Amino acid sequence: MSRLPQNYLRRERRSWALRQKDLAFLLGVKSTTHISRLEHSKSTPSIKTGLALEVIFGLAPGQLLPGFYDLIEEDVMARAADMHQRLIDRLDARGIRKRNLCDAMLKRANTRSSHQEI
Amino acid sequence: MNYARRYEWVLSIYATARGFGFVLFEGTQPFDWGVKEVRGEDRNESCLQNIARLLEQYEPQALVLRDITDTTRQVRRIRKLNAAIEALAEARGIPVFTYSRVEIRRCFGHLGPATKHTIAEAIARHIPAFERYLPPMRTAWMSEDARMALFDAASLALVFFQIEGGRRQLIV
Repeated sequence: MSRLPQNYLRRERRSWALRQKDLAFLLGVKSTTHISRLEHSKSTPSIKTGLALEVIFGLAPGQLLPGFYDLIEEDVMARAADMHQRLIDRLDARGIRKRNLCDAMLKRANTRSSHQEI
Repeated sequence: MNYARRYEWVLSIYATARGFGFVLFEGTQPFDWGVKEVRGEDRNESCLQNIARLLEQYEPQALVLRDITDTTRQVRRIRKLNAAIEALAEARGIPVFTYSRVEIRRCFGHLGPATKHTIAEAIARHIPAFERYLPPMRTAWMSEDARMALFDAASLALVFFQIEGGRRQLIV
């Protein structure tokens, strides 16, 4: 299972006895192809779809589509590391505040990954 | 490595005369499930192809099957199918666990007379997603509902969790 991005959309849909057609209706999309592609991680959900899924299933997009979350987190963290590096010599309040944000991001990412490993 | 980590993904398969039922658990939550009915000349081959696809797709850390060595009632085809599934899993390095009907009944013994239907009802209560698959009570003149294979597969996995893990209160 490790080689597949994790995606709980299909599980949640089936748990609630919804057909792809029903979910497409709830999301306000015409085609079930859209749902199928989301379930198989073949397309990235828009923010509107992510939030609509949270309204439907009560799960945040990061919980429902952790595979996507991981990919996005990796990208963002790489940029945060770059930003942190560039700010390392800045001693002004703005620079310190930004560095604190990068540190907080790293802490959250580490906490999340250690929870996944338990 | 603790138990929970070692067997995070558990696939249970229950072979029947018409095909097979399966449930894939992530921890103790079902992730995927279904009943596959096969027709045609070589039903075992069709079943094996479907099961190979499941193993390929999910790479489970444990496979749970029914132990049918203690019964003479099972048809030879199912015995062969079970042996072939076991070989398929072992070739992929997936540990195989088997439990007999007696062990399943013992595990659900607290339900009173643990019939297939009472076990299925207990599972449906425990896993609300399966409620809609619960077949009507079978009477003497009815053949077994194909959906029962899903509950049989789930019961195997729950026995696995109780016997091998003993980590969580699973049986309701």
